[in-house]
Amino acid sequence: MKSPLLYVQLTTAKNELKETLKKPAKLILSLFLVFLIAGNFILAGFSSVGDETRDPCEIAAMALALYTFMAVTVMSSGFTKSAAMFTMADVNLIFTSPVSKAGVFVYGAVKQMRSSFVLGFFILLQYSWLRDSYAIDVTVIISAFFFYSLTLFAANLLSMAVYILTSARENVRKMIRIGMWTVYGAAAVYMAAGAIAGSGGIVERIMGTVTPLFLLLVPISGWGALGVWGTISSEPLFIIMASAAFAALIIAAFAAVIRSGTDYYEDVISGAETLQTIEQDRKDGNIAENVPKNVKLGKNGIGKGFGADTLFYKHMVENRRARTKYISTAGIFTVLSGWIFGVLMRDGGIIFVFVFTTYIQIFTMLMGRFNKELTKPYIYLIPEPPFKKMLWASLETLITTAVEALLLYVPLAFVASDSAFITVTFIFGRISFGMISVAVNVFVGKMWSGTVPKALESLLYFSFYLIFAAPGVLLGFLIPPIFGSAEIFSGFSVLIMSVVNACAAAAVMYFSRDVLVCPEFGDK
Amino acid sequence: MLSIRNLTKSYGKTVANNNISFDVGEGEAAVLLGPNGAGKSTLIKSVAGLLRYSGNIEICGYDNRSPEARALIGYVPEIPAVYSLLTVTEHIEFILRAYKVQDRSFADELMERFELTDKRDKLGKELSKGMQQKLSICCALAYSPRIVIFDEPMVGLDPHAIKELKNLISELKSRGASILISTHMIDSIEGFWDTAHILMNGSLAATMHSGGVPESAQKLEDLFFEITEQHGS
Repeated sequence: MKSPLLYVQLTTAKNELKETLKKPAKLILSLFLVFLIAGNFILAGFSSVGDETRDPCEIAAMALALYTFMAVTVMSSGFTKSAAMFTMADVNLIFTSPVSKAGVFVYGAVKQMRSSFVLGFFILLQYSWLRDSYAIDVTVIISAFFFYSLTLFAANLLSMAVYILTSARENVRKMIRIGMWTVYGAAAVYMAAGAIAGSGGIVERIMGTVTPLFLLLVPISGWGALGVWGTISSEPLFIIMASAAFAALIIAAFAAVIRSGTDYYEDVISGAETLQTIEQDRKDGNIAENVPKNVKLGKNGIGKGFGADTLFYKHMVENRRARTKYISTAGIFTVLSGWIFGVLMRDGGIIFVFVFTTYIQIFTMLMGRFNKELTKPYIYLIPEPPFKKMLWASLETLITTAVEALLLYVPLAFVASDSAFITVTFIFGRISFGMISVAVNVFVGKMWSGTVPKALESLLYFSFYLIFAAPGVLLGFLIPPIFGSAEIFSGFSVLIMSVVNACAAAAVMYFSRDVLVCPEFGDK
Repeated sequence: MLSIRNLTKSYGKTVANNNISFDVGEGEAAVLLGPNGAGKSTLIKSVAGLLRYSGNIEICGYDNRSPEARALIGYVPEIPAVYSLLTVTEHIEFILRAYKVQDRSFADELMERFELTDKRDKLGKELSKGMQQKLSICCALAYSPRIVIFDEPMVGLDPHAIKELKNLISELKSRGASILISTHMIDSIEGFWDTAHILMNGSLAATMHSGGVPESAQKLEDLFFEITEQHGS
């Protein structure tokens, strides 16, 4: 007879596949993702690489930045609270069974590895532009995907092992957390020092610090970047070194937990409960909110508002408590990645940053407070005109988008020596695409909420985002030449895009205002 | 007064509510009974104006989705609707401000009765499921609505809160409010119900009036089992 844990894994996978084939919406979404990735690869195959491409080793530096951000985020949270490695079904059915604790830990780790690889798929979508800019081949993007997933898995596994082994020893956990920040902080200081003291341009100076030895010394994320470097430079030794480092860490984490004989079940239950809550929220149509563990209460009271505007003031109180008053964590990530991207691509101006960060914005806007508000009944029940409620409820999203835009483009204007006019147009451009996101959410909610599965709703969101943004983008390209502008993509283009986007978003929101009259709230 | 006429609600080919009509008068408590999946919650959500449907639902003469009707409806959802990052006090403040109510004396009384006063500084995420349910009830009643709709309100409440909620429903009735409650706990409605509608497979299978007779709850239970077992067999 098969191992019960293997049976659960295989049967779950088999049933997931069956369900995907049975449910048209899931099938469409899966095929869409496959076509998206395949299309990206085909597009890259047909497009010709320019004469002047950049040093592909810069990809290793970008990988280091991304992997470090992810690893630090995972470990920072995982050292202090249980990661969601098991579900409540595992807790109730497997934890209570006579299966060995070591076997159950391996089972949890395998599930974690699967999730890590699924999360890494977005890396594959970057192939087209990376090939255009760096003339890389397909092995590099596959390597970047593989090592990204491995980085996520190793960070999750390490944090879970640390959490279990330091059970009820808060001081030890705190020390390990400080140790982690010290290691990654030291790496950042070393790179910053190199960037200041070295010779040549800033990119060359930063790249001067990123050596194979340095990458090997930066745990987890550095090893991932070393693997990518090895693929880029066709140095199997670097790939072997990176893989060996990961293997050693993973084996050590397994051995430490299994040999310690710690009864870890209690430690992982809170993570399973969190996962259960998220799953239940998803079924109820709610958006899981990433609320800090320790919330600083501050002033108790909303203090302002009478009628629909109370929604806005409530959002600001919630943002203050979530430590995201004017910028969200996703916003900080966008700004940081935009800065890195801007420094690397500074020769082309901040236009590349604009395209890149608008692309990220499509995904991050789905997590805004306006969307969270739509999952509670109050916004529908408040006796105020729906359009008024909509405007007040989306104001917080527009303010945080504006703050993000300011933080992103003002410093980059100095780096890329762009004019004040271009910078201002990019700020308006980002706000206007934020408005498009809000409008698309409202529109999709009006037309399909409650009548199609959530997965298909997300697909509709992306499709209608493209449709509603299309007039602005098209007119942005077509109108400037009429006025004699020689540049294909200029500040003038972005200004036209912003105006058209804002008008399109306002019109869509106005005609979709009934969504706040009848939402088909959280049903089916 | 709440008036429901020819309410039909479908999800694709599944008919959740099929041509349902009834009224709930001023000072009347109507109960929706039925097994799981009978369509009680769908009907409640339609009355609260949260679902699309065909037919007419009027609140004191207004369409139930108009701002005028919204101001008159109090809705207690099955799953407590609580904001993680707002305190108990802020939930009440939010509701009073959004509904433009200046006098918070009734809201304070509700918090006192549901033992939330000493939890006024607690965040929504820090409350237990039962406490969240109590807060959800306080939010729905804070602005003294004329029509109150409860979806399984007793689930998760402790005995004291259940007793308090029953007393409150009786008080709301005596003040002329119309009450509509969905439940499958028949004994929980003893003492305050006036009319019971039994739903089976989305349709109204029977309606019974208590007539203020103490034994009516037992009769209702008998009727309920007779209908549900008949359909089940």
